[in-house]
Amino acid sequence: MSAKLDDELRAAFEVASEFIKPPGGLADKACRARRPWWHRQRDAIAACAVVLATAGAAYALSGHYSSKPVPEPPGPRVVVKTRYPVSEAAVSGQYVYLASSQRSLVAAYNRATGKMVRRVRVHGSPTWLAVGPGRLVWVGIVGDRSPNMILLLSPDLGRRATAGSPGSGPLVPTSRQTALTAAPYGVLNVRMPAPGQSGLASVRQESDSQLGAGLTTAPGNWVGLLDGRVAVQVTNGYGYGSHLVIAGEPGVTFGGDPQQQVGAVAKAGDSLWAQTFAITNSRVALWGPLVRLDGQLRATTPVFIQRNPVLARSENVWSAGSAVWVSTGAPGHALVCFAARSGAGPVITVLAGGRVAAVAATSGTAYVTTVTGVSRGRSVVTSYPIPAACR
Amino acid sequence: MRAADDADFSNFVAASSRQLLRTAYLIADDLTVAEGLLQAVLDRACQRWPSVRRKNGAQAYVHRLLVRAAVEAGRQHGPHGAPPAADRLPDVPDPGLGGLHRRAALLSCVRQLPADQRAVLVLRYFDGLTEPAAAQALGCSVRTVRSRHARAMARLNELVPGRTDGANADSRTGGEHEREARR
Repeated sequence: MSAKLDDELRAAFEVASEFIKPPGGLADKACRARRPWWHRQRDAIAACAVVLATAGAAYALSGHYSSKPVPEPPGPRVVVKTRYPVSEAAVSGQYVYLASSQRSLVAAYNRATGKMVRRVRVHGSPTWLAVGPGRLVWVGIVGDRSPNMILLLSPDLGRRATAGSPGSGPLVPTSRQTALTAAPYGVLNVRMPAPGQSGLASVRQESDSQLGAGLTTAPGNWVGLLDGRVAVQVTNGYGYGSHLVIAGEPGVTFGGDPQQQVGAVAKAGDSLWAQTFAITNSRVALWGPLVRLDGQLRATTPVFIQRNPVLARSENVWSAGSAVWVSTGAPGHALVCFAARSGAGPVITVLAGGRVAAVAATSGTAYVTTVTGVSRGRSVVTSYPIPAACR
Repeated sequence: MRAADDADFSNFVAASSRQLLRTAYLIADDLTVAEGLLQAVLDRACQRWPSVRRKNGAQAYVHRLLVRAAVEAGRQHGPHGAPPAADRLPDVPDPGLGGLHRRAALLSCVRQLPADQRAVLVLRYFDGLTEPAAAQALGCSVRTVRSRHARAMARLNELVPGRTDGANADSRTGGEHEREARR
């Protein structure tokens, strides 16, 4: 056998297991079963005292969450495997947050160890997950047989505030307790109580924030800020005619024609990136070209994007910092990334195969969720170092 | 256990648990399973620690138990994932990622191997064991280790996309030369 393959195996094993750290207290747990009951009871009381004292001190000193930087692993590694399909993901501080619209739950995992910290059941489908100022977690929930809701959670998901929402699922956190969301008649400013505190949420409609022609307009799957204005994806109420509008500026729109429906949207820098698709003879294409839009929703797509055959088959788009991530239907290019600021590429293939459900990223690491299993009922979150060319 | 044994066991766990867990993870291909196996093996070692310690082979004893348990768990778990086809590999390699894609592809292929073949590779290339030592850890003969190793490497040469193995290329050339010489 070649020495080259031997060396490659050594390197691969080394890198693949480098992140592993044994859980604490292995020796104590192992020997506990052997000790007489009165020793175990004594140890338990002592351990409780230590844990309570440490937790109290940490809680008092750290402002409720650890600000200790989490070391980033050097290569791709599986962070979390779930037995439910993940639909949304976010990352902040030491946590990876996952939401499952099918299972009606939101969960936080420690991104260094992959252990689940807490799981929260919700009434309805959590269709929007965002981390806002103060690392508070915002969840937009579309009710099944119940009203739409907004959930504001502490970073460890331990404390929560809930409010009914007249808006759709998507929202944009604007401060620790306020967020913007969209309703058919305009943009709403929602003020939530702090997580864990009693109080009622208040909702105020932003002035001059109409989205279109009254009852024929319904907010869709995306809301974001663009040049200090609110951009909203809207449909005709039946899910068709999907286009982007600037609230309060009825003349500024993009898409909506059968040949150019707006699918997913992401914001990077001062531009929007829209995944578009066509409807021909009542058949909806699963993918389509990626388009960059300026503050007036004019297409300003760089030539290297227009000519890229992989990006012509875009399925979904996410952004983090200046990196744009696109899942595609192009064989061999399940997930690609590029730098939003770049005018000439390159477009880097990060993942060759698999079905990408969500991407969340820190400055150096992307957490890519792929769905697996029978009927795509499970998910795997894998961390990848963000390629230098995509930053 | 006496206090001295207690301290000794704690020292042993602190010194060797990371390497043991990495080995179990690479064989079982599941971190949660590997952590459970390590805990179970340490439970057993703790119960017999005075005698294990006297024999001066604590590391080998725990390693042996863990490797066999991990192989068993890997067998029950079955192979993971699908081998990456050559046309599914990225066309645009990222220069900043170095051999990342290649290593990921290789690991994906290793996951396709049966657990006992995977274990031989892990013991030889990660733990750095000799063939007799690997045989002892796995509880089989040196001959079995050799044959599993050969089968695993041959399978990897088939699975790893775009692989141009120097040894294979040489042997093919040698074969051709031989045929030419016979003619």
